[in-house]
Amino acid sequence: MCNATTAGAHLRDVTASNIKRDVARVDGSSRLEFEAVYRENVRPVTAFFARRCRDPQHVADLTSQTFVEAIKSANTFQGRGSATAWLIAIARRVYANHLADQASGIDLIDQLGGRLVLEHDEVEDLAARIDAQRDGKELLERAARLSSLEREAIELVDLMGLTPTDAARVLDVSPNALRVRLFRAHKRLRKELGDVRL
Amino acid sequence: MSAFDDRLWTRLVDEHDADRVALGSVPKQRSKRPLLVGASGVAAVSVAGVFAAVLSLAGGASNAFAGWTPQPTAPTAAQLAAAKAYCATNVPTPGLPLELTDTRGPFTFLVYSDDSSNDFCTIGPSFRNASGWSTSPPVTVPAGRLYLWDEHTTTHVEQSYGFVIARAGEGVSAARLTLEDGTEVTATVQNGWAVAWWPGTHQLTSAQLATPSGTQTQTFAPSPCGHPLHKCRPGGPHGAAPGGGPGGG
Repeated sequence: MCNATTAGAHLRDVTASNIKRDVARVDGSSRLEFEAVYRENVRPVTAFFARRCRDPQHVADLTSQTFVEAIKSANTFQGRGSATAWLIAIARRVYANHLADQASGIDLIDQLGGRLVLEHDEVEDLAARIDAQRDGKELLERAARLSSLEREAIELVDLMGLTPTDAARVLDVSPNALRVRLFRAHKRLRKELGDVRL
Repeated sequence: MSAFDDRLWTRLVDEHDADRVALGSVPKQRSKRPLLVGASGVAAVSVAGVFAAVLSLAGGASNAFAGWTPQPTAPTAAQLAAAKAYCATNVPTPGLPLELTDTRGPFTFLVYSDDSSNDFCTIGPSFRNASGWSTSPPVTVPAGRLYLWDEHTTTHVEQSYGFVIARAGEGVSAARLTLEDGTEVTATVQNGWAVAWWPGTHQLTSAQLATPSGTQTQTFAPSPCGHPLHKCRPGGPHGAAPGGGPGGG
């Protein structure tokens, strides 16, 4: 099962149109091979889901689904932000849809022509990645009193290393709004948890 | 990539022609989160070739190193948790044992190693760095000496910093580094590793090492790779630890 509280209810507002609005035009002058994007980002995307799900199979399915969606919308990537930010925006949407499906009683994603049945070593690998995200999950859980937007800002900037501008693009808010939220979140965390130095 | 990563890619290729897909367009280096891939010089004996470096300066970085201290400080639990969480995702070889934690104000520098694969990772308010290299075979470090794996300066957006990652020989319990401008920086020494870093472009010239037989001085020859305008590739010309490898000092 995946943890709905980690993402926050507002994730459901993230739709394909949000993403496509950002990536409406392609000039084709400089193209980025998807394989390079995949290789650079498969771990961050997996980690994104590993912070939300305990089941390696779910992490695998959601990661797969994210890259399938990315392939489908590759020609809409405008390049105004990083490919990582673009992929994480897709991952958020995939996860939001997954939560909605869960709430509706619909079973897991089946966009790859069937579930990617994991081999034993793959289960172990993904379980290790889930375990590796314990600290990140703990940090986000300790930030439970913050708004979901603030928690996600912390996740994207402090844990994933996105710039505030890229994080703002992922969260569909202005960069200034993101910076203000992040500042407030850090301030609150410092106050509630001590000298966090985030 | 792991077995899962490779298998998923194979499936994406087989069922979605992923290898024929390209993203629409790429900006020409106008990102506010520049990536310097491979900009770090890694001094290593028998480098097997695994290396990746990502340095980012976020938020303008008018003073990217605000809060840095020449002496290590104690990390808070949350600071350490944030660093570990970032590093677990971004280092080239996740899952290696954590060997050293160096904290200087808001900056945390972690070293992971199993003696053949080595990752290091820095996280702070304005920049992050996740890198790694592999070695074969593991080196034997002389007692009472430092063996530099990396002595390096990276420049970005008028913000430069140097750092030293070294193996500490048996008996080395503390290390105080002296830079070419006379600045002294105290290294963190843990589990046979020594790490220090500092803002600016100055190189390491010597180290005072605390050993059971007293304080030892080890000197280091200047490294061309340390110059901000001279970037070295992994296993590049500065090779086996500039002046500080087995024969250093």
